Amino acid sequence: MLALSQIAAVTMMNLRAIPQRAGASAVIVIGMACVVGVTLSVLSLSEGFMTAIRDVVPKDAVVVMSQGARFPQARFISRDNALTIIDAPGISKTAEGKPRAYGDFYAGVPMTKRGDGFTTFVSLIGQTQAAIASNPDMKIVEGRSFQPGLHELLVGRAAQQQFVGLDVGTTIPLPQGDWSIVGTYTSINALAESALIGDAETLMSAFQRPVFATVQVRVEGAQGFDRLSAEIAANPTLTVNVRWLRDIAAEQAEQLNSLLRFVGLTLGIIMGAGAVFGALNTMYSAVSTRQREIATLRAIGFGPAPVVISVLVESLALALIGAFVGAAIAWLAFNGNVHTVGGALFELRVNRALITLGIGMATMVGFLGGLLPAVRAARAPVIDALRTR
Amino acid sequence: MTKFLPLIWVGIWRKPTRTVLTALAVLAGFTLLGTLGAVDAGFRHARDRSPLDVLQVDARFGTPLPLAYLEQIAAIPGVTAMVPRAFLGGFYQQPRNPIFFVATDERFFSFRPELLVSDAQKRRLAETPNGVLVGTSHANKYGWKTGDQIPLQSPTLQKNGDKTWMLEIVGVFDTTFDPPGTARFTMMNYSYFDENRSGPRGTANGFMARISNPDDAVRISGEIDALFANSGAPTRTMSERTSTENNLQGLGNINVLINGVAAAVLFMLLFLTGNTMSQSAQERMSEFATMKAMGFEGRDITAILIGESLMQCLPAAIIGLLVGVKLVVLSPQNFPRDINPPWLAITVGVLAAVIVALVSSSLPAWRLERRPLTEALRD
Repeated sequence: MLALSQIAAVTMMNLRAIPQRAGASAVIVIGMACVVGVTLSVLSLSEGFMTAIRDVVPKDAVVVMSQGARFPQARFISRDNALTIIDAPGISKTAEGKPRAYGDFYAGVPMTKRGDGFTTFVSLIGQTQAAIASNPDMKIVEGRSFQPGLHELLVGRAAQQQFVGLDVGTTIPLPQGDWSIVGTYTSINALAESALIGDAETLMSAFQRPVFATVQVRVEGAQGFDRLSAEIAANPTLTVNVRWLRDIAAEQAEQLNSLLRFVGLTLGIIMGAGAVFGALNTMYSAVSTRQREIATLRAIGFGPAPVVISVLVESLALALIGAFVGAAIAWLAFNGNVHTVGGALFELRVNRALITLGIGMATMVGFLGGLLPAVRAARAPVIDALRTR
Repeated sequence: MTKFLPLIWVGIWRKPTRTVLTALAVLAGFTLLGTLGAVDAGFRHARDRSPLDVLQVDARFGTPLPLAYLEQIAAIPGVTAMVPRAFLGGFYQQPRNPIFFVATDERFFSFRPELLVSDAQKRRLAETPNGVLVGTSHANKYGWKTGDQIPLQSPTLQKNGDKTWMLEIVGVFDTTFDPPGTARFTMMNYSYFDENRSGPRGTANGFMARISNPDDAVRISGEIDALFANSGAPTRTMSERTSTENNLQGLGNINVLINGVAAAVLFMLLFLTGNTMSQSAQERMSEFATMKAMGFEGRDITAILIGESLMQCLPAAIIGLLVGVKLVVLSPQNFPRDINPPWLAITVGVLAAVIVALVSSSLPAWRLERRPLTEALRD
């Protein structure tokens, strides 16, 4: 008990004196704020992207695609194969008893971004009316849906906002002439909103592509997935893979994600090292200005532990304040900002996981920056220290 | 200032721990600035080296483009040379070893002077139908030598239904853009590819066109696209410069990131070194007062403080910049690199270090200047 009350007394005395060393203390706070602010800002991109995938990709969505097709352009499934797949067991049914599995079409079309005028490829997806009608995540908010056989397209609201010339009523050039935009859709899946959608058969004939790209399936839970996979694996005429859409999305995000994580953590580590040196400097000078005070405490019976702890607490407290300032700046500047990568649109996130990371970094910096000065303070010979002016 | 060097030297070593820690923090910060500068230089270089007088004619919607387009485009006034490009992608032995061959012909070399391919290699490629030239990176990675036969597994089938393309390596080359041993470009004969594939014969994925006047790039691009706008295979044409700018933009807004981080790093360092200088000057208030009483001018004291600050910051900053520039090799592989040292980044970095040193010593110098001598002596 005595030790605890000693620790409390010395620590409080120490913290109350921080304003007297405001300049030096601010070095830790500002340093840490910069480190955490920069790191969290960069990581908010990857966090936002992962959140978009984790939260909004439908849990029962499965994609059947040709084996070894790493790029969307290389995916193809013949009509015969598509029919076989659609008849397979494990697929959930619509109210009319039809399987919720549809062959689709995929192409990338170049679009000009609003603002900077750069070109990005936007996904052009061919679906059937039935697929859209049975998709609870999608809603048409302006205009109407496309008519099969006509050159008509729906546009996702995110795509409409990002790119020039996609308003309802305008036309865009595609093979075999101009196609009109007849409606806008929204989706709870922000990534799926950055696309154009038309009728699969009409698009396939316009692009002279007689095969589907993939078959999009909704399965009856994990068991349905297993039954579908087993059936397809047992069929020698099919050389396709069955995969959860969420896994595919996560894989596609991985490249961007590992890049951002690498950049964010490299920045964090190098700047963090700088912050540790700054903190060491501050704490050494704090300890040296308190030299006489510490010696006096030791002379009247305080142990070395309270002194060590009081220094560590000071450095941790300053680093944590800095981390919170940095996290707050990152949050204010970036949280909820809309960002696009390769045409996909999502919101940046400074969430609890990132703030925890910031606190972790501050704890490291505070601890490393306070430890050596704390030990030096506790070890200083009392007599000599008392004599210093 | 040189006559003050001994004073400056003694000054910075008055508290060695503080000086070393400050220098280390500066070193860490400038290491980061060096890396950022090198990344930035890589992007700048990638943009600047993309020619303005070469147009890329690609398929607007990914449809194969008929070879007949070559002559139609070549007939446009201002177009001086053309070459087709097709792509054969696949992997060697395992899917995690992807390779991407550009199928083209000897006209391609005039568009890519950066490829260090010898005349003998060019001749061997022309004489060997299934011959390929590979960059040193692939050759080193898989141990390939000239004369080796390599199987390429590709989703692009041969006309006999085989998905394995047997290719013969006729040469290994470097480029002037990559450090030796890291060239990743690979090429094969278009004629062999086109004869043997199952896909649409007589088509290419795109063309390259040289124009006589770079100022015509936009106009001629428009003319080319207009030529095929109503066909089954419309084109999309832009200069290589524009194309590169588009691709770099796709990697995200690197400039904003670099500037933001650099600003944060400098802000942090400014505070840190500023604090060090203030503390050090504060502790020596009476020493400086004594020096003044002995006849040193106010500006001499200022010069000493600036000297100390420079001495702490500059060497650390320069070492940090040089280390940071080297660290750029750790950056992701799809980042463009400049194999020349990024002198601009280093120069800007050194200037930034000087400014940090000047600013951090100016506040304590100003305070010393204002402090009445008699009071300072009493401190």
